[in-house]
Amino acid sequence: MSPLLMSALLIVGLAVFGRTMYFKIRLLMALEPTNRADHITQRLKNMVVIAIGQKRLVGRKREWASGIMHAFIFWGFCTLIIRSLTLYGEGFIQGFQLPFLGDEFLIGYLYVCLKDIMEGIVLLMVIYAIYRRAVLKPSRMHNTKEAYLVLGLIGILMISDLLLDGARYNLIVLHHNPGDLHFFNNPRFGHEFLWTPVSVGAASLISGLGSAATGYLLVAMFWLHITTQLIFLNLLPTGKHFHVITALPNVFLKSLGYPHERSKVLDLEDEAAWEDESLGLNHIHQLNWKQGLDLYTCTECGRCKEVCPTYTTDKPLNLLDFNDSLKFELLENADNLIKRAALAATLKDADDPEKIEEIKAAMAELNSKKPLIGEVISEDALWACTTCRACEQVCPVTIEHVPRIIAMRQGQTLMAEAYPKELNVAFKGLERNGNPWGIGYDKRADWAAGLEVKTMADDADVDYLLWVGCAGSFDDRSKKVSVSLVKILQKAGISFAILGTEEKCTGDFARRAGNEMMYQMVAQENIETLNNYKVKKIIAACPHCLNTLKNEYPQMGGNYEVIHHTQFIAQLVSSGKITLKNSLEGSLTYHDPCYLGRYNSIYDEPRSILQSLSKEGLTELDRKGQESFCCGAGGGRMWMEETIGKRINLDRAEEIADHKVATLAVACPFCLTMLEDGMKELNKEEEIRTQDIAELVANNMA
Amino acid sequence: MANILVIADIKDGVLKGSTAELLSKAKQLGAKTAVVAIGSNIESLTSELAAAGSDTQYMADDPSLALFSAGPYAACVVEAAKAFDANMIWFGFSETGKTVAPRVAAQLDAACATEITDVTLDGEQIQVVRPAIAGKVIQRIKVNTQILVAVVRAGAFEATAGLTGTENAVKLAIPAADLRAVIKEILSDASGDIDLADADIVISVGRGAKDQAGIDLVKGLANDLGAGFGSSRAMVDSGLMAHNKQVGQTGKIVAPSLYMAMGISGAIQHLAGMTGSKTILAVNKDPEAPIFNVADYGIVGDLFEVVPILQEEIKKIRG
Repeated sequence: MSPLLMSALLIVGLAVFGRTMYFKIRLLMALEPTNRADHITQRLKNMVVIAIGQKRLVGRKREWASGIMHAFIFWGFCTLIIRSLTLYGEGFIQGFQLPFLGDEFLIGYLYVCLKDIMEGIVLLMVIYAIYRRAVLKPSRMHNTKEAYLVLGLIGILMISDLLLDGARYNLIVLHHNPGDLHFFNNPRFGHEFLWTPVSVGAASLISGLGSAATGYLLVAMFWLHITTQLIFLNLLPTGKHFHVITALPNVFLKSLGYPHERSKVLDLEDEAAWEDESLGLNHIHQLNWKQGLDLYTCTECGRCKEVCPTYTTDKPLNLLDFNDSLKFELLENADNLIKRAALAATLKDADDPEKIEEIKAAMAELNSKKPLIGEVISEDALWACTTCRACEQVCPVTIEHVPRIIAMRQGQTLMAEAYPKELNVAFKGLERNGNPWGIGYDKRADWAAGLEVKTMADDADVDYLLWVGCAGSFDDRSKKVSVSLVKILQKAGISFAILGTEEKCTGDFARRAGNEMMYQMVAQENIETLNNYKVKKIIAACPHCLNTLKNEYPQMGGNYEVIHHTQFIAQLVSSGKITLKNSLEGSLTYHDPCYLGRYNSIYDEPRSILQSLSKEGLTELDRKGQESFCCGAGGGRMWMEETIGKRINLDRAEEIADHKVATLAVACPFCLTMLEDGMKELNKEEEIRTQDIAELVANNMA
Repeated sequence: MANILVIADIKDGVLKGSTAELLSKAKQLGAKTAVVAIGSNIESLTSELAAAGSDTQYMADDPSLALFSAGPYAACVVEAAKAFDANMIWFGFSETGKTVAPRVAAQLDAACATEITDVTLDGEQIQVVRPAIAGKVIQRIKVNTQILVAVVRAGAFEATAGLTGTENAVKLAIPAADLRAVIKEILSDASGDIDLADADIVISVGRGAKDQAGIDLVKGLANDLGAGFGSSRAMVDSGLMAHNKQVGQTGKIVAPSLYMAMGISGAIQHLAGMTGSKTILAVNKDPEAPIFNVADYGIVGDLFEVVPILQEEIKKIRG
């Protein structure tokens, strides 16, 4: 077309884009380190499935339409990258084709066809997207001008390219190709336009134009397409559409092996950290670069808040705003953060104490003037989170919300001592008696009296340790679950023991409430006890214990094979060690606990057990599996008051009551307490019996 | 012989029962007893203080002392202690006691023991008993300072009739106001109810009360007994009771002499807030309710039937 104009546009467009990206990347590099360069194959697989496959958009039944819409726009973009390169080449050389995509190859025709149909589909999707935003208005979304602008630009890109090809078609077919335009023609594959129905359709719309006008239109559409594309490219990094560029890397770099980045085992002996108040996350510069990339990548789709048990019950935690506020704070401090990081780098080489002090003071000068909590994120929002991970599970670009919240709580609890005061009772109980209720630790094994349960102290030569947990040890309701579990294990002839009075809370709630000190204290003691008895296999009766024992104790030298009691029971059933009677009357539903499902991907075993003991089978709730709704007690919330908005457990209990089931099966002592309380509040506790799966199994064993 | 100075617990111009309990114990130990009373317009309490068992009454009576202020209150106690040559200074278990005791101890270079449940005297040697580690161990502490400042646990001592003292009022100099912290106003619970943490008897209502009528019934009993009126979480959650009335893990933790659980099943979250009570009475329809595991007295029955009977019996006893 015009090498000169093409060069000028490309140089300007790419230079400005390069400058923006350079700055964005420098800012990320100024943040804290985190290693994401391992397990490349697994990472590629995630990227293919979640990002390229659009798994969380297409695979989400609740919103399949918008999921498909987005997926096709994305796939259309992927397809059109090749077309764009061809067009850039065309700017320089008439009839430019990429290798293997010319008219002598079938694949060239297939690509032309794919591109053509994709453009048509993308255009339809853009129209649907605009309709959805303007008319359907899903409540989770922010309706911004940016969104319409970007949709408009995508529309222009599609229309201009279709009209470009349409004009070419008309010039070649109607006007006898005056400019000797290039097009595919091959005796084996026919000619190009047999493969491009959408462009030919577009051509018919402009067939009334004369030869000259069509020629002008072709040129105009070509340059419109190119300039729109370059404008679009430069617009992306400035707003939420940055995800077009960052989503793939963000998914590639996501945490592996655990659903989100494990909390760091903070070095609590580090006096400097206490002095600098750098434990936890108190200032924006303490984010790591991946967390920064998360903020770049947030698409502001609002799925996180839509599934959040706190937002949907009118609490002030709105994760969309949470991300946005952090992003704003990050960008506002960008220059200072980059300078600060440069100073930090010089700190490593400095050995003169005076110089070190000087550098530290200069760094402190560059800190954001705003502490994160109170100024950027409100305390109520921070403490509302139940750490249920519904937000993370639904996030199409795998943003990790929860670790940031826990790190912020660490700052509040450890440095500022600003945490909900009700937690004090639980912390004190944990510290003195190893359980959050503060009941005498000497009573921990009282529930097992008369059941002939061995303790490890009696005999450590057993196959399994049964980890009872605090609720199963002290709470009268949950003790019944422990007793049921013992019955099952004894019936199956399993060799097991409990720790008895040597067991302590795993520290799950303390860690999630930011009290890393208390967590490490009990974790260390428990690991010492477990390692002392050379424990290898643990059956945990509580998903929170399971998660901590399995996923967090390895960080501190406790490595065990840990399974939940529902998994173990399912094994016992399938190996024939116990037989279930198909005798449970009435309809039955199951509430997935967050720490069993979303944290540890245990969805099937509880269901298989329930299926085989219920006469009527299992009625599923609307919010189930990966999108199960929290009971409200996770993340230390069990030990705090819930005074804002509607209570989460009531919301869930109402949903369950709507299904008119006779039995609600649970698999977590917190869920048991919260949902049974919810049923009582609805006066349905007789109608709908809330029972742990272990109880149901014990009552329905042959 | 020991000289024991007891700090009078005066609230809104009324002498609270704990003062007589402490003085009785002091008399039983064969000590010389004195009391220090701090407040405004409290002169009229002198004879009552003597009747409670004090032989000397140190009175700090001034409008500037109407509202509690740690600095001046501590100064009054220190002055009285010096004048009396006290070996022991006893505070009742209250927020003010817990606030002032360490200040007095520091100023007199004395040992300070909190939450003590007993004191013994072996000649000159003072020994105190206090529970530790949530009541699992009992500490016996020998005091090796000249003076002991102690905060006595609620209900540790009993008032004994007949152990009266003599009236001998001594006016204390009024200390200067505390310039670091000035209390301008005390806002109490707007309901005007008895503070749960202070109450000697607490009656709590649970789901068994069903509705407002049930709550009113139990509240009537609480009023009859002058008891603090609390609630289980269920009643707070259902909006029938105010949040600041909740007894339990995440609400108030109480340890009164008598705790009455009315229609409360006794979920662990509730038990965590009241098992420290000296005596627990539970009323519940369900004989399996876990509350009966911790109760000293249990009545299996509907509170709608039980409460009126209790009220009637109380009336009879009181004549």
